[in-house]
Amino acid sequence: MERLLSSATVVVLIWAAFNSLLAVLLAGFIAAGFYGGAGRASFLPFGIYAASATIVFLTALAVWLGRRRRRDALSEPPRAASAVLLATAVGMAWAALAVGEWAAYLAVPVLVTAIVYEFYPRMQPE
Amino acid sequence: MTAPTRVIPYPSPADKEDRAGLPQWLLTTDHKRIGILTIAAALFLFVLNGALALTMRAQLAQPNQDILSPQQYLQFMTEHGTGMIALTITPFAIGLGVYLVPLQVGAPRIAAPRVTLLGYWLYVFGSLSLIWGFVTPRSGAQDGWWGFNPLSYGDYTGGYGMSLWIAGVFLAACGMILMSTTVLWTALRMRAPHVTLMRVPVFTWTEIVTTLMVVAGFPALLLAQLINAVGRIDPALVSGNGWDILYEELFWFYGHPVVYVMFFPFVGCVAESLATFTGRRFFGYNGTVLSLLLFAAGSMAVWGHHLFASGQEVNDYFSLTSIMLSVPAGIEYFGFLGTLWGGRFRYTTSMLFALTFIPQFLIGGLTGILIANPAIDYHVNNSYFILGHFHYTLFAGSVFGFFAGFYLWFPKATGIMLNERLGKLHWLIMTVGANVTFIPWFILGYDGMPRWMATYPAGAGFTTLSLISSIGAGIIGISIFVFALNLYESARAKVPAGPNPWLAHTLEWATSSPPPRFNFNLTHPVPRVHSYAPLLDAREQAPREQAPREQAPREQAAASGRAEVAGRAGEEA
Repeated sequence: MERLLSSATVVVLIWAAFNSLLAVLLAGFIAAGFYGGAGRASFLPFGIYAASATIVFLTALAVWLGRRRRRDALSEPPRAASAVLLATAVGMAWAALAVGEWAAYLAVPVLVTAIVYEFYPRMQPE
Repeated sequence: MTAPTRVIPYPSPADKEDRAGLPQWLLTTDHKRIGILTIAAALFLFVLNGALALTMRAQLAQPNQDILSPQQYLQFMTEHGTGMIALTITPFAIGLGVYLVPLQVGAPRIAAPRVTLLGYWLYVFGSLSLIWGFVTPRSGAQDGWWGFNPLSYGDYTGGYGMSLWIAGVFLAACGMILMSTTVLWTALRMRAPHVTLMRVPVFTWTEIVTTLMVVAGFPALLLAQLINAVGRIDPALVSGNGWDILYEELFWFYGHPVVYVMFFPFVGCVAESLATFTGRRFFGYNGTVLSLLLFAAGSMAVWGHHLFASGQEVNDYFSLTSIMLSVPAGIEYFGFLGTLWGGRFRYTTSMLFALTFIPQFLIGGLTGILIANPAIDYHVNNSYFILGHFHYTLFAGSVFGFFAGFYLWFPKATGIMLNERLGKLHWLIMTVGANVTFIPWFILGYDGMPRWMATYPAGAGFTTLSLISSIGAGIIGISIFVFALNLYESARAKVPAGPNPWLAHTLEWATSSPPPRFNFNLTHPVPRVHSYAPLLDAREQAPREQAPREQAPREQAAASGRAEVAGRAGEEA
């Protein structure tokens, strides 16, 4: 078991497989008519659960694909302000739901600034 | 023609070590600083939302009180529930992972640190949005922590407080997903050489399963809040029975896994604390790891028990899966007890919180098995019994587990010791307060007191127990004051901690306190790791008599607050 659980991909796959098993079991209960109260049988809960299990399988795929990447493969230029600007833009866009669409318009220049701040240095020659 | 890409090596000259100043903290890509910022923000919100709870308990201390109007009471309750779950305990859980996981796996940094920073800021903006919505005059969100649908639509809840609540929950959940993803990737793909997955501490395993749950479960909350957002703009687009049930299913697909997101990392805290302060390896490591994986997977399959009474759910299946969870939970408890068995106990504050977690969470867990039975759930549904159950799991369980971890790792994060005497006082008052507050709720709920009720008539039979519960809430408030006093006193006394003040076993204690910018350096290199307790391995190979001499003076110094004694101990160490 120790060798099995030492593989990152296998760990996520075990988790995804167990979730899939439980999702299939749920589908079996629904198909067999074990449905509470006066409600009508619906595969909605199964659909939600199956979608989630799929996300875990995709995570396992990402982990598997990431196994050959160099340890510093996720290194990035330390332009942290672009992350904060992006968060600000998203926050302002959501505030539009409460205070009106003008907040979303205000978010656009912040978003553009974040993108320029992030990508402009990458396009410069060494 | 493609422009050449400029690659900045990592660590880069631009990312200097230990830069001080507020802008450097707020724009940091150091996982330790992001972790500290997250936990500090969550602690602030813990106090804020706790103050709301105290106000509600003052309202309920006597019948027919009007400290809060019914509408204000619902606003307080909505903010308290959402604030504690989405903005406080979940960020405690993820923030601890952001701080500790790279250290525990021997990584120099977290994966994609700017994504972690983006997640932190989304969480901050989400919190601000929720607070803004709460202080909006006469129109704060009042539809409960799950944002009842379609009550939360524009037709039924006016003003913009509810819109800000939806925005806040969405942003905070996005933040937690991003932070979790980087923690997960760090644990799975950035471990130091020879740190295999079966050589990482139990805490890191709890973070692996927790972050898997976040990745799999939290997107459902985002979809649910998008439905709510559309409902605020044009309710006709998302109205009808199908939408209501879809919302409930999506919300609870997040809403139950999040309970375990707020549980597993604190199991990890307790496990590390018990192992450290008994001087033993965690008992049944392999079985615990496997049970954590199965427990977390099973936790994704129980959300439907929140819909038992709706008549729209597969009750048999969800009852089966909910009760089934007691098996892996039992394995973890077996691990706790096996670790304690034969250990040499050191009753530090962290250990006391960890020991208290065990029976208190058990009360929450056992009452959970009761209400996993639909027949019992119909009886106590939406009553104070339910409140008692989840406050025993989340407060008497998770918050105690958090403090076990906080007192354990505070010296590592800051380089100074917390005052043990004040810490034990904090533990004592909080333990009394938690049990005095929450035990009466089981009786009140069983006797029919409904939740959401802003007041109650004098003849309802709820007065005495409600008063006792309110007194308990006040006691909890005092314990938080003692905790704050401890932080102040410890910051003033500055008793140095040294690299490993507790003689702990895991990798993060091999580096300095606080750790350097990239966690390990030439002075504190990553040691050879042969098991999940590498420092215990090293001590077992060293002469036996060194350990007690190193330990005693520092704990005495922490208890008395005398810096000079600890300083000498540090030199000896």
